[in-house]
Amino acid sequence: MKIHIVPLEKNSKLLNCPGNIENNEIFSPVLNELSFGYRENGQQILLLAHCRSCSVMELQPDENETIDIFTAAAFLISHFMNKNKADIRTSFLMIDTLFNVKSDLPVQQTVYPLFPLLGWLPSKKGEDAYRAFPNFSEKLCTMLQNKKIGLNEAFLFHLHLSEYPYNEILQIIPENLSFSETNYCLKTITEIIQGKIADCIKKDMIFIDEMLKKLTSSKNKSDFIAKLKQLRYPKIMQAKKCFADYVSAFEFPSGVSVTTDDFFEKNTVNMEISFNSRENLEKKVTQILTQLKAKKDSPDYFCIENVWEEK
Amino acid sequence: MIPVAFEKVWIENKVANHYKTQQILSKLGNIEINRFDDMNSLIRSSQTVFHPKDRSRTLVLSAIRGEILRKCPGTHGHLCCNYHIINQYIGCPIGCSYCILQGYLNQPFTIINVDIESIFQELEKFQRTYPGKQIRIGTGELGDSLVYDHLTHFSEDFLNFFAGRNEFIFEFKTKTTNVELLLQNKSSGNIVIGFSVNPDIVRINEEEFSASLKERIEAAATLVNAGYKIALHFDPIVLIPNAESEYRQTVHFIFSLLKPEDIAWISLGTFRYTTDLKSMMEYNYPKSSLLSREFVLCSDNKFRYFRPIRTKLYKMVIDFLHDVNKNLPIYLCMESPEVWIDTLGILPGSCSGCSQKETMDLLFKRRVIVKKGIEN
Repeated sequence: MKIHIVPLEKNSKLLNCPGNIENNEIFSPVLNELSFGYRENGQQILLLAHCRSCSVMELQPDENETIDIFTAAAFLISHFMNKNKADIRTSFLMIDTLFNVKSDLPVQQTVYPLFPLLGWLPSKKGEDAYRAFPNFSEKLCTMLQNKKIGLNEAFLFHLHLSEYPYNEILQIIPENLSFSETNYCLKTITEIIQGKIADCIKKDMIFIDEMLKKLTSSKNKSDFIAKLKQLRYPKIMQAKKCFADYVSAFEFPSGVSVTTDDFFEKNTVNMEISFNSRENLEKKVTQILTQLKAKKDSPDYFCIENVWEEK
Repeated sequence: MIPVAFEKVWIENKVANHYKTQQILSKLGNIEINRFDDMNSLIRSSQTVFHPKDRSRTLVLSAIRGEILRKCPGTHGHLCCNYHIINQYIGCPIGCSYCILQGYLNQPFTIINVDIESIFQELEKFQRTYPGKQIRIGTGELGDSLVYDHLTHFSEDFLNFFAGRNEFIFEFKTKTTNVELLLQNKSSGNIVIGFSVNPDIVRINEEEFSASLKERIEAAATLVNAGYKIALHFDPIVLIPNAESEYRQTVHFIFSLLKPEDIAWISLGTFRYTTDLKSMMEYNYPKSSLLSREFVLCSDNKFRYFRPIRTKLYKMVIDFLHDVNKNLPIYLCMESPEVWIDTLGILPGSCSGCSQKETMDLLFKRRVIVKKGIEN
């Protein structure tokens, strides 16, 4: 279908608009400058109103063609809305408008196809996010609006923790975290709380208070993330610390590193020795042996099983 | 019988007149029917679906596509049990929160491949190409083998086909008690019915429409009386509160109704997930707490419980099983050699002079053919 944009006749009446187009908050934020509405004139027509100049455009389909509001909306979005710039509230208001348009067709065929154009979540998940959006806490909305978190992460956070006063939790997330760090924090906090619920430990808010207390004592953003990881993965972090402490206690010569795979899936520990001559190697090996002998009576954490068992 | 009723059927034109299509349609009653030619176009023109329940509302009857008899791909760095799979059902209505199909499937409907004769032709070809080679096959990889059996009657077809073909060991894998047709027919000895088992608390929290443990094991006991062998799949083993007591009771209950000699094999696998599955679970099953434990990324890009956690879980279940009988044939599904050694104390192939693959095959070969004396 080819769509023409032509100036609308002066003083044309807008019919069947969902609300008063000129003052309605549904329309005014769209594109900041462009308003969006539609009227029926035998066949459906979409209107684009430029708020500042008050000029109004209309989309006209070719002769013998019809254009419905949803097709017109898709046209509007893809031609006039830069989806990277369209903020989340604008997208929400646009979707809200379209959900309120009466149609004989199911929303799966009318509104759903517009979700990706608006940078919204797809399909049924998009509809669920739309329905949940008005209930997002103030802080969650702000973070979303400021592009500190993604819609998917915000929606899932709300979905999982809507029974909790999560706004308080969001307040303690450092402002200077990056987009991916903030998303990570949201997901991790959700999993920490779910884990505690699964264990039936402290169903009341005491647990959340304790978590908040620990996190608010963070010195900086790295410390905050480290504390979060400690709460989320206590056993893994303990094993990593145990191994790292053990290795560093050896005082191996410089150029010697001792590593395992990331999560102790293998039983092997690797030692890398950098050297520049046979003599240099011999010296380092001798130092390593001396260090090993000095610790022969302490627990052997190069045996991975012992790392796990360390409390 | 079907947890989620079909609301619509799409039929691939080339199987529109197939007797199985007609049989299935006759059982579905009044239902919207549509036709299509090309599966890919149908998928492209359909809405994205997230929840298994939504995938189970539309049925597609089609001809099997691609390789019919596939070797289970296994995963990198983990031992595989040399299982072969036939994707006759694609999609499952049982609604398990942990179901890997959420992350694998991209089609928004359930597919039943009706052209069972194509499967039989492929199996006959395999027999001709590899005479005497024994393999285990199942249809429970991308769907439950029996949940739609009352519609398809495929179990009868398989029983007839495999009768006397002892190089095949065929497994129906299920979480249902839809075993009526199996009971009405005679087992040919090389048929195994595999039941996924877990404490009921796992079923209640994580499996929306599966049969209870009691129902499953009672069905298994009935099948044993009819001459079938039973496989038990403790998969996924889940870290739950009071895991020790829950799994002890589960094993105890199972063997209050079944005898060790009724068991063809027992597989163990702890809960694992891909990144895709995780994102689907987070949306589809927000009440599930499975993802909140300590997981690590393994070499096959799947997340598993931190090794000491899963080793402890395996040892716990193995100990309970060994309390019943030390000779129960237990294997681990998709686990690393390190965890095999930690838990079972052996690696397949490490002590018999055979390769790992040969030892795994031998384990199943010796075990399944018991009552009928087909092969020793």
